[in-house]
Amino acid sequence: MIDNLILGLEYAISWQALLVIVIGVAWGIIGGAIPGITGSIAVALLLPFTFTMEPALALMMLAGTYVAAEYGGGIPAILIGAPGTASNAAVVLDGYPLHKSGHTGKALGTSLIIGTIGGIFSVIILILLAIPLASVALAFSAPEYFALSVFAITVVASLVSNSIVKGLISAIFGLMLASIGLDPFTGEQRFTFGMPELSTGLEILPVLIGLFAVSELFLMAIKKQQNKNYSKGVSTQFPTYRELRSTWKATSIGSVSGTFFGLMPGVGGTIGSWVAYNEAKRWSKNKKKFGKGSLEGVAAPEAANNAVTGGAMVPLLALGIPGSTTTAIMIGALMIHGISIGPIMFTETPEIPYSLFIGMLIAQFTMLVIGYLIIKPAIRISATPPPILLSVIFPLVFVGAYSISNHTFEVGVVLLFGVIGLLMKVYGFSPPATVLGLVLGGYIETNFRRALSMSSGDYLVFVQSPIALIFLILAVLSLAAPFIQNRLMTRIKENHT
Amino acid sequence: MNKGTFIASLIVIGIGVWLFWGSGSLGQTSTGQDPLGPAFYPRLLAGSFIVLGSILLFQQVFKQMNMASQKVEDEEDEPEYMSFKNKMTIISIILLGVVYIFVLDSIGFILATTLYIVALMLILHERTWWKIGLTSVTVSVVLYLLFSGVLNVLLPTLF
Repeated sequence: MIDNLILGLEYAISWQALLVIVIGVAWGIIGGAIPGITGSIAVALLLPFTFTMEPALALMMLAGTYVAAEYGGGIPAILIGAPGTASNAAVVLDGYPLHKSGHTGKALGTSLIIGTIGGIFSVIILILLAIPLASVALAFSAPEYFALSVFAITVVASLVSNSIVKGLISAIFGLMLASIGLDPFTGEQRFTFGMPELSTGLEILPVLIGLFAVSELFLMAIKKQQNKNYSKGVSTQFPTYRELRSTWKATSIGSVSGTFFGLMPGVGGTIGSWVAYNEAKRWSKNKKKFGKGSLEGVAAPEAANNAVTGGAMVPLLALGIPGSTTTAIMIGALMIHGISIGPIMFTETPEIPYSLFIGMLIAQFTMLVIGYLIIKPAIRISATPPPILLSVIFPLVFVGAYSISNHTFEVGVVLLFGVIGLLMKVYGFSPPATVLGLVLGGYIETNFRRALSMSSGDYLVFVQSPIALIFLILAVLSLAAPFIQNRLMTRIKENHT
Repeated sequence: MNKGTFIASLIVIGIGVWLFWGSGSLGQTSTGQDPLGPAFYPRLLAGSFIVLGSILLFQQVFKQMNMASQKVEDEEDEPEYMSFKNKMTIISIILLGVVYIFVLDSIGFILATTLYIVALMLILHERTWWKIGLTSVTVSVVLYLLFSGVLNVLLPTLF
């Protein structure tokens, strides 16, 4: 393990790696600060620039953006009371009152410094958990992999949509999209409708970019911009060491809560930050200050948001299971390079996971420095009017899609799935579940059929392995998860609004 | 009843039936390596679509019957921001994208993208001519140089 960490360190401290991390982080902060651009969209927009990079570098750059977008998303939450991403919603409660009372710098500084601490904590947990988990997962065979993927999809399908049926339909839609192209066992063409472009299946990235980024851009085009001049008069006087130290309890709660909820597929930032806020308030000596501009109230959800990133990387790297949209995009980015994420990566291409560990740590420190330096330009850029912003982003998305195969077909795919994603969002379906289905589809089908071929068609193969059985039971139980999540969230939100 | 969800459930059932039927041509022969045959998995997905689509449909019909008996006003499942005007804006942007795809290869990246941005900004109610001119030309040229020059992507050109 130490040898591999040194190998990762060598990769991550090369000038190329440091450069891509700086670019990734800077874009993450700016992108995250733009209302409407979530962390996953910021990562998706960066994808075309990674196609020609070494896989390890590509992943480090995307991880830099992922990490920094969590901080960036807190900026509009504090300045205009409108969170850049759903996971920043809890920051509004105390960040916005701090801004209104002239303590903007203290809120932004707490968000940055405490966010970094939360992030570093989660990367350490990532390293401690992912490596042993990956070695356990190496012993998995087809039934276990199948059961694990079904569990991941079911959780995301039931948690991310407001109706379980719609969530499951969304997930199966993803599985269907993944089945387009060659049959993995017989090589027969399936559902290609005679189109040569579909003969090897749909490229994952254009579908992803369409479902997430383009559908959101359509919505951005019709939403009214709030408070154009919010960049004026922002104080950047950061909190003192004493003030920061006073938030240690909230920071610890946030870091643990974020990492814990980040580990679970489909749960992620939103619930992690609300639970952190709630618990920080419960354990605080200054409960009454919460909601009126408490630094602890900013620290807890911000530590949690950033800690989610390390947590979410654990199932991604160790098991090859993306629990969130951003991690699904990262799988897509590596697929372009012909690399599949999962436990095998730790033995076959150890430089990728290990350089990512170190790269994510470097990204946290980079975020601390760049976050301070570019706070004002980032605020100014984030106030760019939508017509100009969209005029840059739409063509960027199109040219990015074109560059995947030098063909306008992919641009059409991006646009088509942008429309599908929009309709899904408007009518309460779940694009994240579709994406997970698409990303895991090949994996599920191959392992399902392989398991049955191992057992000569006997379905008991899925319940004879205790691990597979546990995952399948969890998959069924996860259908009850939305009720638990809704009750928890309603109770927390009622407490604070 | 939510009209959008009702239509969506019909579409889901329709796709399920269509794929179930379409998978028939994939062959049923099972081999030792693949005891279920190539049609099984696509049919499993299509079948799940039919079942889930039907549940969604029944949920809507049941809701409608409940509302009719309680004489409750029909609820709308489209979010408020989906007004007629906003829908038209989105449809215009989609159509503009379709046109862009069709002309990209014939008129080249720079010209197509410049015209695309001009039209997009007009759709988004930007009327300051210098802002439109500057944004459209700068963005298309910078993207061309970046992707063609730095990232070696073969973008279509006019000549």
